[in-house]
Amino acid sequence: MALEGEVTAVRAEEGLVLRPQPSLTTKLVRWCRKNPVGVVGGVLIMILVAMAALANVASTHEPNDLAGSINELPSSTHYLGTDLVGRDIFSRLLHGARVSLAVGFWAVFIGVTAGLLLGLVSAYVGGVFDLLMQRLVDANIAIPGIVLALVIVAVLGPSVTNVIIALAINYISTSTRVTRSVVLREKERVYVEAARSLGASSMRIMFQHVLPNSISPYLVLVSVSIGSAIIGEASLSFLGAGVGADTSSWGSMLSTAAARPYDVSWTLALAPGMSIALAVLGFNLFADSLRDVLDPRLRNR
Amino acid sequence: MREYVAKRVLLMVPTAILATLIVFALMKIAPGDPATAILADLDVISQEAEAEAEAQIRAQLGLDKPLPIQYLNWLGSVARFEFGDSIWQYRPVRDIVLERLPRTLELGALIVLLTALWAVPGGILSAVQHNKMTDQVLRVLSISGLSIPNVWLGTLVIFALAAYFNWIPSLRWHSPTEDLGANLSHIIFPAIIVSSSTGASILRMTRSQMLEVLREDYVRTARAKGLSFQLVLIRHALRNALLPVLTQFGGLMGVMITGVVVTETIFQVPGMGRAMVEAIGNRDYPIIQGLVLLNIAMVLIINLIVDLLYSVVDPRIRYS
Repeated sequence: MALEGEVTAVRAEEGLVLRPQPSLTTKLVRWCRKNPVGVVGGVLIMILVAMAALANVASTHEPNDLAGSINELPSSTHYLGTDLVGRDIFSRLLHGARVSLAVGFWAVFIGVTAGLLLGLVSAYVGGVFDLLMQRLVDANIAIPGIVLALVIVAVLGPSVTNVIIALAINYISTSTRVTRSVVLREKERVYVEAARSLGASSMRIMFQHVLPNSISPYLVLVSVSIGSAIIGEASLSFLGAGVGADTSSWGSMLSTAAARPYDVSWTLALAPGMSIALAVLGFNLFADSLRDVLDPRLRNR
Repeated sequence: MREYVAKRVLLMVPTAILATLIVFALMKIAPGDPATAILADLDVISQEAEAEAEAQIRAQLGLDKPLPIQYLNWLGSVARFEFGDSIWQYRPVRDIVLERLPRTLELGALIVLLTALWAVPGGILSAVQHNKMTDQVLRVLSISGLSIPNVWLGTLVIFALAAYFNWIPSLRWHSPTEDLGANLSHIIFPAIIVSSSTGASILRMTRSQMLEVLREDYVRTARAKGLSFQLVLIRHALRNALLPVLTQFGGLMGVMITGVVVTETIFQVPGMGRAMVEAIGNRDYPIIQGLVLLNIAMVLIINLIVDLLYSVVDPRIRYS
């Protein structure tokens, strides 16, 4: 801080006019004005977070209580009606937001980040390590994600943590592969050669030069992945291998609607599906705008 | 090049072994084995008789041998294309696969075709028209495609058709050789639904790769020396931009084999995905192992093809 002050003083003496650094709020406002789409995404995410955070307070009923008669249409006591056994759909919807948010975030963060590091090191180091790594990734990718997740949940038992583990494993291999293919191309570039000729260590080249330049596919992956993890959870619960029968999940609500389309209230087919779609849309829109900001090479284009 | 191909084929061996080991281990960690499942189905009089029956079933299924032996036995029979008999359906797994695989392959081919038809040109167009109206519309489309889950879209399609047109597609399986029309009018719905999400991610990848490549110096050089934009696009930009897209398509094709579980469930397509879910529910190990193994084999072959294409499209990647 002191140094900064001196520099400012010196520059002031030299007669340079310095523009004051814009405050964080100003920056945020500017970003919002430039990215209306990102703001829409952010708002959708905030709604999802609010639903999850306020699930206990805002619920009109306990999610597992048989609070009314079966298949009721929306009313002032049951805002979205009741399901096949008489549970309040609105309350179950709010509690379902918690599951979607937790699973979406943790599965992707753990999986894609691990994959980024593995892919980076694998492509950069090369040799036997790369070979082994790629065989492992191949072996993993060769088993389709939803099937592996189904088997893992069947083995570990249905719970939120186990669904996160089951889904995260799939993102590791995809992310490793994509990152590796980008880094392979990236490390042949002149700037890497330049950095090496200046005496930069492998660690420095990998993390300071190659990593930032390979980040754009990482962000595309994350942006696609949080949404797809939320969908993954819904699909697992839909197939009956999700977070468990006692936890209300949007996927298991939908599976009731799909299995008995002529019996259930239309809200059971519409509300959970729309919630998933809007939550996923929110993350997709937000991450899309974020990418344009974070990737300097795509800025102002 | 020949050396590269040979090496690449050789590399499939450890991958296959690793993958089969993963599957075998998962099956063994899973609680409840087929012997107990069959036992629960039998009416056994006394505890002694139960123990005896269990021992008999285990011996019959080879479950009394040490794990490595069980694994090797399984690999050995697999090498002879014998996947064993289904525990619940009392028929060879091979028959089940032969019955179900063509259905899923047909659906998968339709999905990949639809995806390639709309997503790749869409992604290129989106990048070329960057930030213009076409780009915005395509971005909204692709983001919606990614956001609307197949689970919901499928349910909605059935609901909407029933409510507004008072008609739902026939959900009974017709063989394409018997009645192609009925067959297509059944599987076109799941195919469109799945391609909406697969296409969305392909479009995004194509667009982002295309945008990066179009900013490369060699593209500017090619333009500067007077080549038309179309020519630069096709001859210079596409080649480099489509590499990661190719990877994604390879992955997509592998997933098609059992990965369209949800859509197969909603539209009652009796394919591989359904077979897998049913087998997992029944703990029918021979089927699960057989299907996963088949899947692994197909994915490995697809990966090989993608990698070989890679080295053809980009000679720099023919690493020694």
